Amino acid sequence: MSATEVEPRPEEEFELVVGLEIRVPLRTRSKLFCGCATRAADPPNVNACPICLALPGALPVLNLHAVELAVRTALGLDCVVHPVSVYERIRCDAPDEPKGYSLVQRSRPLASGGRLQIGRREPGTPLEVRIAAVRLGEEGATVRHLRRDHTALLDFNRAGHPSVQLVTEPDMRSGAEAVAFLHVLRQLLAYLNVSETAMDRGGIRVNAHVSARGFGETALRPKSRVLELRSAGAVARAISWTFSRHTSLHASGARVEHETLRWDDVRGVGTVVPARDEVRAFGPDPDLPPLVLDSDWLDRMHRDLPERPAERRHRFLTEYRLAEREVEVLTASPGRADYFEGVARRHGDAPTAARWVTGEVLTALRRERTPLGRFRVRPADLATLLNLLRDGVLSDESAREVFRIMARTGQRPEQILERPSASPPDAPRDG
Amino acid sequence: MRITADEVLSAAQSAAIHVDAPRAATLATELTRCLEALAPLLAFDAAGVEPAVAVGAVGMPLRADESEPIAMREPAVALAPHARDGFIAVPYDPSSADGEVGAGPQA
Amino acid sequence: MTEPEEARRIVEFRDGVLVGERAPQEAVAAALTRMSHVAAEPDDLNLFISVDADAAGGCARDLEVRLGDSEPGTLLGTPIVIGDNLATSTLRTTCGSQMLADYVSPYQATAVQRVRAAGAIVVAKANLDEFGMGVSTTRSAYGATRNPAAPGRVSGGANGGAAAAVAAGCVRVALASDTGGGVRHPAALCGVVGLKPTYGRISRFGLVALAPSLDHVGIVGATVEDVALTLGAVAGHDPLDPTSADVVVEMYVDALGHSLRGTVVGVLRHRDDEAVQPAVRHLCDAAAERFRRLGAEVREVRPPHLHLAQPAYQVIAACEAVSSLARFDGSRFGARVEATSWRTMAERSRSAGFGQEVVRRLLLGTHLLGVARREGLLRRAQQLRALMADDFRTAFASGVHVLFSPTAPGVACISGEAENPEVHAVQERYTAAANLIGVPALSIPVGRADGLPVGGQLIAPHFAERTLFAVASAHERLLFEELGG
Repeated sequence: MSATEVEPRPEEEFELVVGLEIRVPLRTRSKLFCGCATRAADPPNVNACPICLALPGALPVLNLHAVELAVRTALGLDCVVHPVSVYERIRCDAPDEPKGYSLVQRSRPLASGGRLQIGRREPGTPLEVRIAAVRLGEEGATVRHLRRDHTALLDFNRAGHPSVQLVTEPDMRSGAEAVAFLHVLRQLLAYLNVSETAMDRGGIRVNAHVSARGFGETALRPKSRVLELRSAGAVARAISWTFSRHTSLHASGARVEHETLRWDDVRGVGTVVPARDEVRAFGPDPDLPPLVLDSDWLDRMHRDLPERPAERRHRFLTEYRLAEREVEVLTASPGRADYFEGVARRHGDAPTAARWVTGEVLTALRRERTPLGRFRVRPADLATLLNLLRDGVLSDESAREVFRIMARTGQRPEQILERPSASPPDAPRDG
Repeated sequence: MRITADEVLSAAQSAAIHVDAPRAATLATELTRCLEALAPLLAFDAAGVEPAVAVGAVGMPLRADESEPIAMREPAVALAPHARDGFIAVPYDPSSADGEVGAGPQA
Repeated sequence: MTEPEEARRIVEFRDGVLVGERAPQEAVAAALTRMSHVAAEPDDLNLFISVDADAAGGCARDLEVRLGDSEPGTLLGTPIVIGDNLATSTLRTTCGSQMLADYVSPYQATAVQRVRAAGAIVVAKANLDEFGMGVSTTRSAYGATRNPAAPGRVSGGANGGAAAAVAAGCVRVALASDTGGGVRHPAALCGVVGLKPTYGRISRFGLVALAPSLDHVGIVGATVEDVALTLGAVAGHDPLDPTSADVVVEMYVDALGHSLRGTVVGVLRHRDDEAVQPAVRHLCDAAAERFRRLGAEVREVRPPHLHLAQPAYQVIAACEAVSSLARFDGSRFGARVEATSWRTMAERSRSAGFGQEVVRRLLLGTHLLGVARREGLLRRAQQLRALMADDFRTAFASGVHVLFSPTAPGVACISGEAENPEVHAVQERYTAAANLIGVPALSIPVGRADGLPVGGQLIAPHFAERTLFAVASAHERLLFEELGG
């Protein structure tokens, strides 16, 4: 293309419309419908029973704690939790679903009508993604395909593991917004303590719903459902590729149909999964009566909801009067926020505590290659150190030196200062 | 109400059962007779009647989150027609309709 | 010993065992002898799919050893037969199908576990129409079962094997499934007692599902007392069955022998009553007359929608069967036909494993759920279900304690006629309603027409099995006296 030809690329003429379907495994001891342990990493098929193997005559019985975690997730997303939800049998003809149907809260889900703020669109309006539905369901068996042999190896340890399906409205307008949504969601889930949230460790999985339309159009055009995206990067790449696919088709006047794509992140392409024209809905499951949640129980779930990231951030801003940037860093994970508060409450000077946690503590963690949960410096001990600093017992530099010893050895400041060899050169002596 | 041989073939595909053309024709006749016997169901007055899906549902009983699996007399792999290294082995061809593993039910 | 062991009442034999006069092994040996006798005749009755003489002997010996320490169960020393769609963990569970020809369940059904805990000894798995689909036990992959009370005729279905085993004197009780009449129908045709209890009364855990909202575990017995005793042993809440009722289990045997004074019996009149054979009508009228003689008041009841119960049941059963049988694909258990793709393996395994009637029902159900959904048959069937529940509620609220009707419209047909669609079509006409709405129903012998057994059906409100037993046992005693005691 020469400098004088400036043809607009198809992508520029179309608006990208993205919705996400996220599957979050829940942290329970047993499976959704049976008492098998949820240890997927055990030797294959040892955590399998007549129910999760779908042997003849087996019946499902729902796990209360899975319901609690799912409701907690829904409340965390400001959803309306429905007092009555219903499991339906939806045909699922694949080796990872032993029953031949899935149990899905399809038309009467556990919750709906929620939202998650993921940032701000210019000019300063909050960017919110609406949550269309929250459903409590189960995982399938793991299927390992042996390409040479036309064989697949099935492991039912994971079959029946509880998971929550979150479906958003198509409110995102870019791959970046989708990635931001996932980031904010993962942070929320960490605060709610409902799941192991690592996306890349077989945790959260995403299907993306992608379509394109002209700017200003309000109706939605047919979309592609892109399956099994296992990392934020894959989500971004798949969305971008699919958007191009749609815009090229629209630009050339070709018809765009609803379709399902399987994404290959290695090759960077999506392959169409042929649609089958078959009976899919078998109706409400006759074995499971409707799930009825009583209002007192729901009230208690509301009251017991853990503090969410936005609430924690707000509190840090107002209660501790910290800068926004610092608050972002301190509240990145609930563990870190708790650590900071453990120091700040005891020491009393929040900005100092914040400076030390965002500075020395994070540096030490990086240096020691330790997660915060295994860090040797307890909040109380750091507070003590900061008190010594405030009271002039230690200089800034000495305090840092002592801190480094604390990080390495796990000793308390008092212990370090008692030993003559450990005391820094300019520490004033008694008397 | 009736069912054609083509509809029989379509239902057979959906139900994952092989039915050949001659059998489909026979089945179409037999099933049409069944359907005709069901016709009276379309004749009664059902105005305002809420369909009853099941009997006496009083709400779902919930189970404590305890790891107490049902004891099996033999392990899962012993029941399988074909097992390999502790896994249950099945034929699989991703280039065919088998490619839908993990698709999950539609949102 | 001249009197056949099986003629003694369960409680008598149990008492004998407890005082050391009898041994469980005697009962088992007698049962096995009788079973081989009925199998060896020129007309093998073909009652059983699996018999395990060794396991039975082992259980009996085990019981003898345990007698000293545990609380003696109510069914102590009683041989029992289990319909082959209830999971047992040593004998195969084939469901009458090629699909499960070699399948031994790794767990046992709750109902089976409870009868064994009560001291009963499982001696065999009984033949049935494949997966419980049928009314003649001629659609099993393991051959047809013949009626011991009616040579050359069918035993009824779906659980003909269980009913015939009791009728032939092999055992006094059997457990079997009832989805549209599968226990009551063969009980009537074979001349024994058959109970479908209230939905949720007996756990379905381990019952291979056909139509979960219609399936029940039922009991066949030689007498009303046998059934009542067994119900007491098996009934009760089961945390493994989410539809299991958390309702107190009563002392059902206490209901036996009560007067019927003050009891109101409602004889069901059906819009299509002309399908009932005259001999059956006559014997049911005689039974109603007996209720009167016993002090009951007898009225007529005409539930307006009763004639629609069978078509509604057929629609719901066919639709639920589609998903219930979706798990049979040859991957994890059962017979597999190999292929190079998953889908082809599933299709070939199912085509080879399922018999004709099963295929027919699955196609009907698939069609009703799919293309024909527009016609709304399933929805109408579920609406009918609601209306049926109202009809019965109204009847019971009007002062009627128990309803009465023929169990089957006719006597057992000759084997050749079993495939006649017109005969087939009417068999569940009276039994299906109780499955639709879950009320308990009991079939009792009301006499013989030209030597062929006829059954009458009593229906009570939910969880009122005691009323069934009270009326049935009074009738049983009177009938026994009439026949010369």
